Amino acid sequence: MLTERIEVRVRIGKREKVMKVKRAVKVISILRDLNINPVEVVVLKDGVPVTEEEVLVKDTCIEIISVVSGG
Amino acid sequence: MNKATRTNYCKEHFIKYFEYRIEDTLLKYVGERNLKGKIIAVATSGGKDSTSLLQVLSKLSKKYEFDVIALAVDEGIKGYRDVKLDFLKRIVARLEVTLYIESFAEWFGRTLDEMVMISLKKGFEIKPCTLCGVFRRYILNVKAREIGANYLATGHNLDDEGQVFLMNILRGSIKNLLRESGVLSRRMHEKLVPRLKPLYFLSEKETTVYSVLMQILPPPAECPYVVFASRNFIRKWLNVAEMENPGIKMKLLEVKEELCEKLVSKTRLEIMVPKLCNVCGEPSAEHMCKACQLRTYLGLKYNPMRNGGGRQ
Repeated sequence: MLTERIEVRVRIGKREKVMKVKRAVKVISILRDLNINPVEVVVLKDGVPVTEEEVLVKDTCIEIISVVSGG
Repeated sequence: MNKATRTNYCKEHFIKYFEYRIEDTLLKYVGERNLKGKIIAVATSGGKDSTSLLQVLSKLSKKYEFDVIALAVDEGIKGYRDVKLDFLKRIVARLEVTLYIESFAEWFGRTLDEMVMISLKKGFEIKPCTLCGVFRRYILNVKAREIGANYLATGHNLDDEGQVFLMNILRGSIKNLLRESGVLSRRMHEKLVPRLKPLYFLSEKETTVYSVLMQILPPPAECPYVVFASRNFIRKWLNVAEMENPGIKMKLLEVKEELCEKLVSKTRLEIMVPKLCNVCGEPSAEHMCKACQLRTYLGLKYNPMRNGGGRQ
């Protein structure tokens, strides 16, 4: 069911946010919702980098890490 | 995925691609013959770029028979540099690479935090990043020369190069544009160790992915002075441009290369040859080098034993 909603826990640094999104959402949609430029981050799912086209089909946890050097 | 080339990689092939880009850059700009028996000092900060560079160069050093040495500068930024240096020490121990750590406190008598406080009292005319950059470059060049390095490799990547190029254009600084080197700098003076930028064609994002895959991603610590960096605006703008037009950073670099080549061919290169600083004897564009100018401004003592040994 495409209308089914899933829960995605998003970790950005020390912050964590839970988002209720449509099932089969793409990572890029989550980044857009969070107003994050995909060029500036790497998204990890289960600790492995995934592309923005990755489709999330079940409750999951993703980690967003900034690629910008801090000095 | 590399959006510009529309290429998807699995873990194994991404690592191969990343390491190959560095190897290819070295072979193309330095050459196999100029690597054998040479010493490459890697300017390491404990950040993802220099750590990834150290990792790859350490691997390539066995294949091409050159030595790799890690050079780090402890500016004295509390809660930031110490975290990064602890991480760096673990990496060099694993790679079995010799690490030299030089500090601002030892070379200039003050940490960067103290220098920033002095600057604040004086009206804060100089940004922390300027102090940090000038003194760090100074130490790295002198130390690399002292240990007999043939090249000083830095972790500057595609993003850094694009940002600096745009900043120089916006400031109308042709002189700085000329001074900015490509992958390998011209040796303008025997006291200047040639600079090498093996990550020149790799983006910040690619380096991050590599460091995640190789499990060498440094702990998340941000320099407290990053808010003062003048390139923040350019960085944001360039990343938006890249999102809307994948590949624009690489195109910018191609324009930079072409423009710099044309500028250099029309410039008498002797005007680019540095003089020697009247105070410390290090190469300088003016009669007093930038490090000595800043040192004087901040009222820091001159330590001839550490600051290049004085004019000879």
